[in-house]
Amino acid sequence: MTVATTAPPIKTTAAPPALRLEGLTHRYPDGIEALHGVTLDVHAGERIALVGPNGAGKTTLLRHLNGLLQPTHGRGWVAGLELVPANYAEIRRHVGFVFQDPDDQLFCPTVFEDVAFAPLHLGLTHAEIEQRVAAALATVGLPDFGPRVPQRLSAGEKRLVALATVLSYGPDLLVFDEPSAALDPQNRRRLIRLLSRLDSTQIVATHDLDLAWDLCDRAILLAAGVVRADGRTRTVLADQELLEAHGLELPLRRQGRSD
Amino acid sequence: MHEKSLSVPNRTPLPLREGPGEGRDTRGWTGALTRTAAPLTFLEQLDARVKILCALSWAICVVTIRRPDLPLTATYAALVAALLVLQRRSVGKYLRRFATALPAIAILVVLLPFFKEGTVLWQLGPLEVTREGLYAAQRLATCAALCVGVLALVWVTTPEAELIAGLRRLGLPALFVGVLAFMLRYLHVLRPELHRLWDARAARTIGRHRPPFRSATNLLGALALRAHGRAERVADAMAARGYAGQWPVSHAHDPPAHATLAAVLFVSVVVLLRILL
Repeated sequence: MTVATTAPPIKTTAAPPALRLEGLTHRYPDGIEALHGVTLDVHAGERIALVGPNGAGKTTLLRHLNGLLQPTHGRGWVAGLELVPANYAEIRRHVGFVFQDPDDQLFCPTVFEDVAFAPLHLGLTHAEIEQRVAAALATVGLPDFGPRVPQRLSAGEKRLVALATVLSYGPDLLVFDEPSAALDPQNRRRLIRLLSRLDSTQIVATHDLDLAWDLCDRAILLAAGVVRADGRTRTVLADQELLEAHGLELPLRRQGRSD
Repeated sequence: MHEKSLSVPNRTPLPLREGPGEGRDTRGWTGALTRTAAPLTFLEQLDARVKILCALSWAICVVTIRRPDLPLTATYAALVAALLVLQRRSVGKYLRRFATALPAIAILVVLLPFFKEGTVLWQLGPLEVTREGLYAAQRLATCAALCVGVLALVWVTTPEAELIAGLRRLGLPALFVGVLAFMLRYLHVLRPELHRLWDARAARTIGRHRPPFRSATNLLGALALRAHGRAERVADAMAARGYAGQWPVSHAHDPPAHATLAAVLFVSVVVLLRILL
């Protein structure tokens, strides 16, 4: 298996990293080890693509970032808080996790209640919650969708509302699991534009290498639970040999085609 | 409770450079403000809490009718008909929802005369139909029809989301309301999943539209497993957004005065009829 040279991180600042993982390993109860000693730093404001073949451990890695899974070995910090159960409640205030299937994320009877769910659990006042919901829905371009019921939304609308459900509490780190899955080209483009306008640190796990190419400055290639490459997106995703060795292909843009 | 100890983010919640439509009014705490279809009928405008409490009062009055009482029953039925006239529309939807309860009521009404002890009227082989059984069946049919008649009206005139919010704000146990809310929300997700499973089965069985019993139970088993998987993912999504075991009740606007007045009037009439007739 080809192991690419790890490129230096895009941003190296004196500020503490938004996320630090040191030797993170995760073994599921059935014995499958999905992550082997993952070590990485993510700095505030970075937009990172996490790419890799099916079963590479991308979702498992993301689920550690707000305590949905606990590491078997290794340690991690988010916003300076160690990833241990005692800190999970505070960590979840800093991390906005957008799940792959919006129907998992939109569990309330109305869009408004879904977007208000996190602010409500933060104990905000009624007026503050209304203001945050209005701002979050306006941000995703659906200002009048509060009264709508999730089952009546299109796939693209559900995806945007799912994003609004995390924007409403202002997390520092946004984590996306396959954000462009099941989106048509226009909605995919709309999502990319929207994400590129957000200032939060973003980690995007995706098979959509063109989205990664357009959106992210840095790409991490994960395969069999190991970081195989970490560097500038246009370096990592232009390495045909590396990508093909790990079940991926060059982005269409690099193949001389466009979507 | 973890969420109680969380501090409110004191920075700008949405670090966005620009955004369309900011400042627009998107108030949407489930209630009258969530309605978009217009114009609404009087019953549709009423606060869900008011309708639930009226329906509860109605049910209490109806189930306390001990003997078949034609004048009272007819008056109550006329009251339901008057409410239906007031509603004016959705009569077909109302009748369909009313009909959903009929099979369960019919089974009980048919069986009761055979299982209530008392004066035997007819002998059908080993089975005996008793006078007391017939009275009980008649009373059950009357009570059930009147209760379902009003509940179906509440169901037709109140969106699911408002019904859930109304139950929550009336202080019903959070677990009960939560189960009801998730059931209503995910029925809309599981039904298409069942159709997909069904279609996949049909595609592999070359046009056999009626599956054998074993195949049907396999489908239901597969659906149950999928539902379980989804439940775990939904629980994760809730935890990721701060849920730690309790669902705080959102701010509740008081019902408008006209709704309260209408409720008081309705309950007074129902109780008075129950006492006088």
